Amino acid sequence: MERMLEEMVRDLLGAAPDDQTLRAVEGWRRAWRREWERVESFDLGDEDLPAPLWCWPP
Amino acid sequence: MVLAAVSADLTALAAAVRTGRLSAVDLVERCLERIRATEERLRAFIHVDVEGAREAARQRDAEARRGQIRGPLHGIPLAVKDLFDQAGLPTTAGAAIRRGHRAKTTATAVQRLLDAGAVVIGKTNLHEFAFGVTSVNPHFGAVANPWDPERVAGGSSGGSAAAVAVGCCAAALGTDTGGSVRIPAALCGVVGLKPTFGRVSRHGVVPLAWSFDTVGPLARSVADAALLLSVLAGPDPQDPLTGRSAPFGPQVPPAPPSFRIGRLRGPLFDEGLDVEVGTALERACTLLARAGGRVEEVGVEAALAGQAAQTTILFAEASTYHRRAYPGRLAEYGPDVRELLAAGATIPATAYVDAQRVQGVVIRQTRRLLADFDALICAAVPVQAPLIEEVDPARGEGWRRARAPLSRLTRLFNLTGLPAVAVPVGRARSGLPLGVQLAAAPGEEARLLAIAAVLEAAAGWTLPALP
Repeated sequence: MERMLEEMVRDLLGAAPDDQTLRAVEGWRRAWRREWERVESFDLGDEDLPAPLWCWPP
Repeated sequence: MVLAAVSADLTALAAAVRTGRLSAVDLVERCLERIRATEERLRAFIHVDVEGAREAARQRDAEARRGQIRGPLHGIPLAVKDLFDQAGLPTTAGAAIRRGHRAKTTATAVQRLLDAGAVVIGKTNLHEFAFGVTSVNPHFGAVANPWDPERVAGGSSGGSAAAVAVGCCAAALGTDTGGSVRIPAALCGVVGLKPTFGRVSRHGVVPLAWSFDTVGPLARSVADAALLLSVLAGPDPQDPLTGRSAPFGPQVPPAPPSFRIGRLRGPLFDEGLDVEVGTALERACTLLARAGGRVEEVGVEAALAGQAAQTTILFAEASTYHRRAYPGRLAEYGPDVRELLAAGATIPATAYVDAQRVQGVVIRQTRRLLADFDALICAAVPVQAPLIEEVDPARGEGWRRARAPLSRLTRLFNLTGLPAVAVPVGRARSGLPLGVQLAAAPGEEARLLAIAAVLEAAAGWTLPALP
């Protein structure tokens, strides 16, 4: 997991993160996934289009 | 002691300059003196344009003597968050990476202020790249709260809020992507307006997240914020989002004799609320009810899912911008922004799209509410300003715990694009100011500010002279 994250950050930002940043990203990912559960468990239907396709900007 | 350079509202100041009772040169000199007296303590400015401001003030005075008044801000000294380009000046965005930058052109919002006669006195300090809510900046110093210099001013437009609160300028420009105008406004006891997304041009502003970045004023009063919006709002061919932006009148219209206020309730709005912040919110609701408002409790079912969606979109877009703008330079950011940018790069595309679908659901729910209510109300910031030493990334992990509470109540209105204003309503026992937040339907800034002015007057809030 750590290696995968490191590659992901390096590929996307063009820089290898230091160990401390990498550990922090792992922690952030865990917190984000907990928060994201609220979206995963949210009842999105077929009619729920991404906002930019129908109501954004307001 | 050098007292605040500015203690009058914009309309009064502009009238005094226009009629020659006050010279723009004197006003600018007082601001410069005030900045010199407070800067070591507050660190509100990254660049003070001493000579540029003096020269502009001399020109405005000469024009006024000839009867040539540029606009409603003629000769008024303003400050601009150091995220906006102004030709010839640096735009550091609060980042070491951009220390050598010099802008070749001027941001549309700044140009509109200049065209209206304003004198830009300097560029204000901020959270690095506006990606944070404390304005504890590792490269330019932590902006201190003028009410208690041991505490943060909030962010990311912390320097703008502190400069206005302490009277270094008449008003200031900020940006708001997750609360960056309203959070520091609430913590520093000034008015902070985030207009409807797309109402004010973002051309010439260093982006944080394109889906939410909004330009807005920080001011001493609701009336001042309205006057500034009247100058700032309008279409700009260089920002296609402003195509439908309607003009805004310079004055706050009177509130209707009766109006409906939806008080937001639910876990997002009620949990983690500081007792004194909660009391201030109760009092604001009572004052609005006495002034003709019908206050009813309302909820936004998807509010918590919306928080996750806003985080996802904001972080993914911020990382996308920085990946191209500053490739391979991760080590040059401060530790908190470095970490957040790296984290944003790991968000999957599927999550980004689902977040936009949730955004649509939350927008639908808030629109339904605003069909029945003139405005929504909640606290602006659920907690009081934390100590700088507790949230300084160089001194520990506290910034992680502070980040979410500080922006907890502002982000919903970035996700929905609604206009929202932070209004100070009183002070805590500690002496720190307390603010509440009002929001209205898209494009309804006139109604929003009318109700905000009613609350401001009922609360009896005026910005005191701070040391």
